[in-house]
Amino acid sequence: MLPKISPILEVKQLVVSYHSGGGNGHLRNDTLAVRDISFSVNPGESLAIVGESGSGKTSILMAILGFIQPAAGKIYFMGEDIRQLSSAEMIELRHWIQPVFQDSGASLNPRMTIGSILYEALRVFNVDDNRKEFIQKLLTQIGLEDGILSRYSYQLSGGQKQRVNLARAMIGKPKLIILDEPFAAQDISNQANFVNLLLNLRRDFNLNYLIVSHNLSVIAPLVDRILVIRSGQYVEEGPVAEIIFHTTNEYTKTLIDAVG
Amino acid sequence: MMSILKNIPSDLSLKTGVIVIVILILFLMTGSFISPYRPELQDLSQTLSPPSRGHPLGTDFYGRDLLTRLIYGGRITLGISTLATILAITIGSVIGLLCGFFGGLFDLLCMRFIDVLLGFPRIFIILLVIGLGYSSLGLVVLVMAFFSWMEIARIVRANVWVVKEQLYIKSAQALGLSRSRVIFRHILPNVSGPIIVSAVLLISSLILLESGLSFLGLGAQPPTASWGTILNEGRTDPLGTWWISLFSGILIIISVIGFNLIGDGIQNLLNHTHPKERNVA
Repeated sequence: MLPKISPILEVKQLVVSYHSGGGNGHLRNDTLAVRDISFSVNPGESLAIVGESGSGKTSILMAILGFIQPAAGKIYFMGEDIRQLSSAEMIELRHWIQPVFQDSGASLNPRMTIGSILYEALRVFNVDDNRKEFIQKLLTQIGLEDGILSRYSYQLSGGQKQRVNLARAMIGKPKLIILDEPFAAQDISNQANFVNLLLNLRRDFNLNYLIVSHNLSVIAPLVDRILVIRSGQYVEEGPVAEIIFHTTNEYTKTLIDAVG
Repeated sequence: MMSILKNIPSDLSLKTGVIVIVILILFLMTGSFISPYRPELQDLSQTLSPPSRGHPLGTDFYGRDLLTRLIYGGRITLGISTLATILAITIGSVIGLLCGFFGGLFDLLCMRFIDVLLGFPRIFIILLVIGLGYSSLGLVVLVMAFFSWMEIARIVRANVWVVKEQLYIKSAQALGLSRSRVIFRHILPNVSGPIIVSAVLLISSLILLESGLSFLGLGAQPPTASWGTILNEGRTDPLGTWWISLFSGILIIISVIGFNLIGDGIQNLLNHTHPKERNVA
């Protein structure tokens, strides 16, 4: 088990770049998606990273999840440098950090029933409780019915798919849940329901969220601090109220005004 | 039977192909009841008899009943082709999955090895290997499979490149699943469509190959019948003993067309229907 060292997540001077070209004598182009970004998430705290589309938010998440190798910088989870972890340690780390991706439908295997998807997570996380009872309790907490277990992802609504993804992420009792644009495909009433669900889960399970979004107003109740980035670069960071009500930065004001 | 066919999607190629192959397989399976003869039973008083009431498809040089030999020979031809296909599909799928998933040096080496194998004319290599070694049905299966897996590996690899970038694969990896579970439980089912099409089309190509090898005397050895050996028996006097080559040739063509129609039908379904729409109840 990883030692519990504060902060839970610490990102230092992260640089993410994408390579293109370089073959057949052509010059290689490096596109910098994230430039020298640093932030941390302390125990009991949640953080939002906001910025317009293409500002590098998802690249930061992918680097934290180990799907992208950063060009530079350090990522510490509970004091451990995740780039120094062995494969086995990385698998253990994944129990503590769980993502809920933006496209909830594409995140569920189309060839597996929802039941298979959730029971697979139970096996991975070695949940020894009565598995059927565990799943039923979890579905109730997430606001889903038992009937969905025999269905495939294409037979669910967008909101149900998102809740299934959240349920799968919750099975391992993670410390940090990473939510990528969780409200992008929801109407206003569903947004409100989902915000309430996330608030309840945070309270009941002592969760920390790292939320990526471009919608400042919706994520405000869920987080304690907001980091604003633009074109992969740091703009400003601060407590929610300070950023939303007292910012002097023109870019942040534009983001706030854009969502009314 | 009809209820099964009703459940087959309304693709004409697929429906026709399935009907042809099901009838062919039923013919081969129930042949022992249709014909009272044994495939090796000789009746020298009936040599080279044209089709008659006692021998509906005639007899060969040794007076053996041609219908019986076509039934038993079909089992050999289809059996060998199916076994070689299963082997080739298994090898090709595993290598394609591993190359597509891991990439890097392993992928590079495998692809160059495939390029080398594809650079050789398959039929001559097979003739050389079988011709040099002890000619047995097992060797025929192994050799046919070994020179047939490369295209499948390439197709599977190309599909894995696409599937492995899907979010449901990232989600599976984020759960901490082992690589083997991600590959075989999550990626393989999502590249199964092209594998099934390749398998069906490969069977028809291997039926032709097996028939060709047997025709040349390198496949099934007398007195064991296969469609290729029977085809060969009729070549000395194709007009005088027309029934020997004609009926074996027709069965080879029917089986190849049947499997090709099934392959085309599945391909049509995969191309024109989204998996989500296909599965909606």
